[in-house]
Amino acid sequence: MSSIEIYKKALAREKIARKMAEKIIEDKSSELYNSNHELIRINKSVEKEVRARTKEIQDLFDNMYDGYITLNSQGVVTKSNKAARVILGYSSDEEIAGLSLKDILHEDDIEHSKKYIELLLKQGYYNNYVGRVYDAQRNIKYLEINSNAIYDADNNIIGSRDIIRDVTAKKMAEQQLALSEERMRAVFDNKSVGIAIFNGNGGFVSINKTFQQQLGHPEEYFMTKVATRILHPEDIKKYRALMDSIYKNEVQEAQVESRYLRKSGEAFWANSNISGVYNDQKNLVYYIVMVEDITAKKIAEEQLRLQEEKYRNIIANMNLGLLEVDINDKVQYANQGFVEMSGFTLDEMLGKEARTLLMDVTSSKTIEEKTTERQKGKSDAYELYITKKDKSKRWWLISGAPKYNDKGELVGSIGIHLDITEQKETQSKLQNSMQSLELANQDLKDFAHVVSHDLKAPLRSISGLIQILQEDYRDKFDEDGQQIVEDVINRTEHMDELIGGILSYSSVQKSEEKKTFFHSKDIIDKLLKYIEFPQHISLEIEGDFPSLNMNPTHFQQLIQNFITNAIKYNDKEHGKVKLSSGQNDQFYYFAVQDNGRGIDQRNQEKIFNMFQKFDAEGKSSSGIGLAIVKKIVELYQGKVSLQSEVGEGSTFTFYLPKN
Amino acid sequence: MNPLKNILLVDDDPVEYMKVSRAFKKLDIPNPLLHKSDGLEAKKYLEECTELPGLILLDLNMPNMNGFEFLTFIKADERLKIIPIVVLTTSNNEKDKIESYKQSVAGYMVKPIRLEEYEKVISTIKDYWSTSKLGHE
Repeated sequence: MSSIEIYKKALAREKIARKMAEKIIEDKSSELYNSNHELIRINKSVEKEVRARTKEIQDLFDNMYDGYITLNSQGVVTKSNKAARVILGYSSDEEIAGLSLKDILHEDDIEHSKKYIELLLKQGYYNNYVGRVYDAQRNIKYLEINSNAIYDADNNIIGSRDIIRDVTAKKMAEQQLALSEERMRAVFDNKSVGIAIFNGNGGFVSINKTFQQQLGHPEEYFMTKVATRILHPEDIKKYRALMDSIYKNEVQEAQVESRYLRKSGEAFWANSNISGVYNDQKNLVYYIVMVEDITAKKIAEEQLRLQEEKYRNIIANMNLGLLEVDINDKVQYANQGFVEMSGFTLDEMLGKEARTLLMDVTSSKTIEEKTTERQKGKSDAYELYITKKDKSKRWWLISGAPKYNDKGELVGSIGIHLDITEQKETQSKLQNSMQSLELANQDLKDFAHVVSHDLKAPLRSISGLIQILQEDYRDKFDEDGQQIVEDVINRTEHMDELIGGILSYSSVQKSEEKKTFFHSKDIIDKLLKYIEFPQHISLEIEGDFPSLNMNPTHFQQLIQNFITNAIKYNDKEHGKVKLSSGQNDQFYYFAVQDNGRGIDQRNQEKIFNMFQKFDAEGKSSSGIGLAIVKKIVELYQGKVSLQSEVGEGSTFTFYLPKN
Repeated sequence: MNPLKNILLVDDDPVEYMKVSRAFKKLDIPNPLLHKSDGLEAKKYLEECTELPGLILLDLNMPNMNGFEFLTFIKADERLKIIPIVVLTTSNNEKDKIESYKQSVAGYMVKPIRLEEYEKVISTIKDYWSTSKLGHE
């Protein structure tokens, strides 16, 4: 064999082998293609299946009633379903992304929530956490959360899956219920009203504290009793009648005033409100009775009734006439007193116009004015000249007041009438006498003034002439003659003083214009500058000197009179005069004390009378000073007093009222 | 005051004139003393006289025209109201004093009952008016 052959043979083999290999490759690649194709097909269908399943899960997830969220270890929301977003107030995934649960936690629940987070970390889950969060609109929501931890491959917690449920409505309802229960409890425990609940047979079901206190029994007592056992026997019938009609559903609620019996046996008046509680079939289940103790009210009512009766009696029997008229002056009521005063019977007056019955034109006019006043709600009193039924005229004093009804509307007036005709006459008589008295006083004053001047003038002439006689004819008289002339001169001088005294006495009178406020000490200081104190007499002043409201001249006259008297009648080697002042409740008083001769007990009264003097030593005096003092003091409703002992001295005190 | 000026006494009581003129004499008052026994007479005199008196001594209580009426008349007369007037009266009445000064009298003297005192009053008037200047010297 040649090598070509060999080569040829080898080449042929190789050709065959290559062909076979090619065929294998072809077959394989076709096979590959086919399986690839199949794979693509399968893959597609799997993809489709997976998509369908994912969608299914997503839908399930989204349509879950509860919210579902996953949180990372920072508490940030990484995943959420629609329900969760609705609960938290977010509308899309983007919005809620990155929300941290810590940030929306209610501040008061932070502590509480920490415990649950600890639970999660420790045991990998927690259940039934309820707490508040703020939703996207800052509304507070109550959430119930159940949480499970998410672990990584190394078993570390990297987050949690949380089911959240909105329990806000439930929570609110619970709170409302608690509140209304509380309210109910408050009503039941009301301090002023006793509450008892009876069943349909009248047996006690429940009572409150107040009811227990009202009756005075312990709670157990009631549980074996029926309602009527605690009622006053006389009231059982009407009470039971009411309960019956509530039982029959004729009425659902009723009020009754009745007496209950306390444990002590004593009855008390109460106002009871009984109401029925019915089931669906309108059958009575319970009676609810509210008991208000009205003993105090009853007592007050009774007192009011007694008082009213008392006043009615007074009004009916009083001498005063009572007349009630409506707004048109029509007589509504007149008491017996008014009937007697007016001469009309009640029937004759009822419904008639009071002014037509009793008044002339002038008086009618007055009453019309008064009616207008009354409409403004004013009360007052006035005098009216009226004509009785027998045509005789009388003066009435009327005190009128507006009359209102329950609603406060003016419905007329009430007048109290008093016949003052006699008083009027007396008053007018008194007024006349006052006037004549005033005139007489004025006359007297003028008389005193004129007389004193008319007497004074000739007296002055006599005195002047005698003194001229004495001077010019001194040599012609012997010693006795001289003495007689001297005596005549002294007498005329004294008479001149008397006349002067009468004049000042009659001119002492009260005059409002001359009243002023002054400080008594000022007047005294001024006065003391003008009074001559002899060497042997010392003056002492002590006490609080008040301010006075009177004619200052009068005050000056008072002090002057007492001090000059104290000086004049002082017979001691060391004469003392003390002026003091003070006050008690009603009076200011001034006292002038001396250590002079003193005044005999029997003369102490007389000394204040006119022309009374008890001057043994012929000192010049008109005897009118103390009469003036007395007149002034009495003018101001004051008084004068004297304490004296012969040889020891005297104290004159005068009192002036404070107002 | 000029010693030649008249002094006019208006008083209804002649005894008063006697007392005043005696006092003038005792006190060596050189002025002539004229006497009119009421306001009316004094008024008539003043209306007719050519030489006005240097001073008028005036009583208050007088018939026909009393002291106040006389004052009202004289103070309303331009020529006469320059004459100073001293009231010389027995009245110690507050009202009389006030009324007199309201009529612008130059003085108010209460007549004492004792002659010696009376003379003192006249002496006071003399002392004052022999020093005081008149408006119609």
